[in-house]
Amino acid sequence: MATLSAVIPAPPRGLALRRLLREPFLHFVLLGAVLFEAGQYLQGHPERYRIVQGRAQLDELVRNYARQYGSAPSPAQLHALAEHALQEEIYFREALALNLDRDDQIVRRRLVQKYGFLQQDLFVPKEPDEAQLQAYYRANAARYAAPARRSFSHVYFSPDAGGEVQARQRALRALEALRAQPGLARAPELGDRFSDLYDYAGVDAADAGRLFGQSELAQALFAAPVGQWSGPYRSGYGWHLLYVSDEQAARQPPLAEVRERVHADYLDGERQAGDAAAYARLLAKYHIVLEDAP
Amino acid sequence: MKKSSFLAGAALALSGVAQADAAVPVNPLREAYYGDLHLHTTYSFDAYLLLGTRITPDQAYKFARGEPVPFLDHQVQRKEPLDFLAVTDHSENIGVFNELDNPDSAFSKSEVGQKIGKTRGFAVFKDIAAYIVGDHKQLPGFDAKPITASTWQKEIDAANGNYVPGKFTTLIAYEWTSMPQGLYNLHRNVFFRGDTAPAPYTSLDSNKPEDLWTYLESNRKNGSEALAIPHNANASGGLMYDWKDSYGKPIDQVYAERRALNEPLSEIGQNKGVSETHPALSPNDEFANFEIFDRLLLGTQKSSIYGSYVRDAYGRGLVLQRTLGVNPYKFGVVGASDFHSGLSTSTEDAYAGGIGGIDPTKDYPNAEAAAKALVRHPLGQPADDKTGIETIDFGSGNLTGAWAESNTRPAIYDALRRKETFATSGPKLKFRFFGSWDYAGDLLNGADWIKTAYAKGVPMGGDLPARPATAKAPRFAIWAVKDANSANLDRVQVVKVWLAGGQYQEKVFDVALSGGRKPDHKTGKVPAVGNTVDLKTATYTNTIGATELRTLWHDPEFDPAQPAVYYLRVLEIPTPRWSTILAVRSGLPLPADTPATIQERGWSSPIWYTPPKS
Repeated sequence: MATLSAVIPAPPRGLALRRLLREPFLHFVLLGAVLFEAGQYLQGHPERYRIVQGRAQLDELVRNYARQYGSAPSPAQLHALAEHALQEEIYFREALALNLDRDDQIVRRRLVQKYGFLQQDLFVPKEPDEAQLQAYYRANAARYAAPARRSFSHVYFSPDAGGEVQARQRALRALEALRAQPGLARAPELGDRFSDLYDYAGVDAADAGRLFGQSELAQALFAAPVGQWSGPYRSGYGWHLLYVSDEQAARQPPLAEVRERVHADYLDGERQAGDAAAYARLLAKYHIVLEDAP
Repeated sequence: MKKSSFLAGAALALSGVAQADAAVPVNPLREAYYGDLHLHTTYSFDAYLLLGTRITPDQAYKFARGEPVPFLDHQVQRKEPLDFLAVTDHSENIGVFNELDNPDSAFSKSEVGQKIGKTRGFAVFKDIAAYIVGDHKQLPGFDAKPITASTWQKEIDAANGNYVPGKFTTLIAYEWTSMPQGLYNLHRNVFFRGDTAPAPYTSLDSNKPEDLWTYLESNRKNGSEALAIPHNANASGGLMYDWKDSYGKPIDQVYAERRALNEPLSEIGQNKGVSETHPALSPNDEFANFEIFDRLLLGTQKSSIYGSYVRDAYGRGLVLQRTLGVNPYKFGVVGASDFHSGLSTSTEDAYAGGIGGIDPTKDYPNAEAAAKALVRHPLGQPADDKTGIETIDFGSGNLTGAWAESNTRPAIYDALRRKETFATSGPKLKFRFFGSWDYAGDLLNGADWIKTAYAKGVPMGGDLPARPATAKAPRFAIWAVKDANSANLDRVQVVKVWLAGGQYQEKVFDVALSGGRKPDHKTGKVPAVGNTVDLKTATYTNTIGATELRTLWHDPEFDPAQPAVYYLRVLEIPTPRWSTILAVRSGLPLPADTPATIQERGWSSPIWYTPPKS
């Protein structure tokens, strides 16, 4: 009766439960529960003091060890593990006999947590149909919005060449020249050599900060007129003239584009709702007495 | 609820991994990504006990990604996100001391738990350290294993759950806390390439690095690739880059090979000082006196300067290579915070005590705490009661730069492996360093010079190929640009360490100067760049210095018979040190015996030259 294998029931069907049943802690708890019930009956019975360590138990020890350390234990290690398991079992029985599981915060917290996991695993959210997915997407549209992006070319004027004031003046002169030549959308040669690129596509606000520092240019990029030269704007590196060639306003992508994310979020939401509902059903079974504070 | 959102996070992360190749932009010429490779959270015994840190690994990653996280009674947010982060909690009794949160826990009721009781701070820490550094192998009457195992799983989950390929890379990591005799800091951080990791190695298992390497090698054989990065070595008492192994025997070929394989990098700077070199080791280097912290961590005992600094180690490596055929100290460099607050910051104005656990982003400590942080205690008097160390001697967080094709786990890890890395004392300086025998004189003028530089030479962290008979001296392509949110550049230097006879020598070359300065033709000395810092307001202006510096440099003193190491040092113009900013913001006098301004800097991993065997 009181062998380790005897008190652990065979795993029932169902993936969630099966996974849970692989957890050594559950064995611990189930074993505890069964032994506790059995303990009342077994008092005075020889089984209370009978422990079987057979092939199955040793195999389990080997498997656990290998999972943690990547190789099988040596015979000496296995011996030590078995000794340890034996002591654990004996202490465990003695502890249960003394009801030590009763007011232990850790046991309590673990049980609560385990119950929570069990609850979640038992609840399988229903796949949404098209209408449900669309309704969910509409209700949470902001989460899927894409930021504004701009494509642009720039001309760079470095303060290294002649100083800050001169760099800005050179930029102003170049701007005049560019405005006199309509149709020119790219002119890096009018300025100094830049350490990164001259043409960027699809830059959003976060990219801009990363590229040019927290600067006037990073801000201006999204306010500058499209299809004409403007500036000069200061970046963390110097002065720039800008030609914004294309803009994508912040936009709401159609559901088709973000379907996978929406789908995952929907299921997550359903799971959370499922948890809440399950708790509500449990709560309804209980009679809660609220006492006035003394 | 917690679990379901975690599962969704894991699912997203997994799908992210699956798509990584397709969706993440890749630059074959590599981009500089910036990150922190040394950070503690609440699961480190000292962070929890000394500082009361409650930030979890998950929150640490979120903060580094730029998300707001709760701290004390409000939200804090990093000024701009990092590109990568590895949380490196102490592996010894990881997560165990957090059990003290629950007075009914088995640990609280254990002998050690009882002893700690409600006491925190340095007094109790000193007693507890014995259970970390290995004087005591076990917590008496308490089996820590279930807790350390579940904490390690949390660390793995936090790293995997916060990995966003293309945006933010995390590495599963921990710190092995070897401290022989409780004095000498031989800590190593261990980083995994993959999304799973075996149980961590601890200094309770062994405090010998050779044994840590055995752990790494056997895991590697089982398909789990990892490397170790030695902690900033200044407080190692000369043991980090010693001539001898852990058993006191002279380093042999096997040791040298295993060290080079398992420890391809070293921390050069972090919160507990900078280990590039020491003024006493480099008397001719006018910039050597930078964020020096030359005591052991606990107590007031001095650390040995020999065997504790990177430049010295490069020289020792050349000496050892000559006799062993292998260079055990052929490592690149990284920078880190090593903060114990869980919140990684790297700018001077966001720093107010990474050890002190003070809000690094918003509220500076109150006047009383600030005053305490800025005072140096007379010898023999207890310093900061939280740490036992003078707060004023700590530096702000340092950074690692990694040249990688994309911001993904494999790409960042592989950059670490091949040493294509650099470190900075905090700013996001960006610099390239290539060596070759046949770069054309106008290489840097070409629009696609980086492509040519890779094709005809090697990047930082590499070895110069065999010298063609016609080549007189190696040429180095050097390019540096300022941090867009920080100060201008003062200059770029090449530091050379070489072997002449049996001795190693060093020399610092100024190779690119801002403001059209020229070295004095008699003394060779370059005039100082100047100083724009206003000490009343703790501010500076970028009216001096350069945005960008570049040059093609050849070694004018090259001797093909002498093995040599070359690395880059890039200096910013002077800016206020954190202690100056804190004093001004708190209306306190400037600390008297601490530099009011500093020149932040970056260091590249070296390029090595080895003469052919004669």
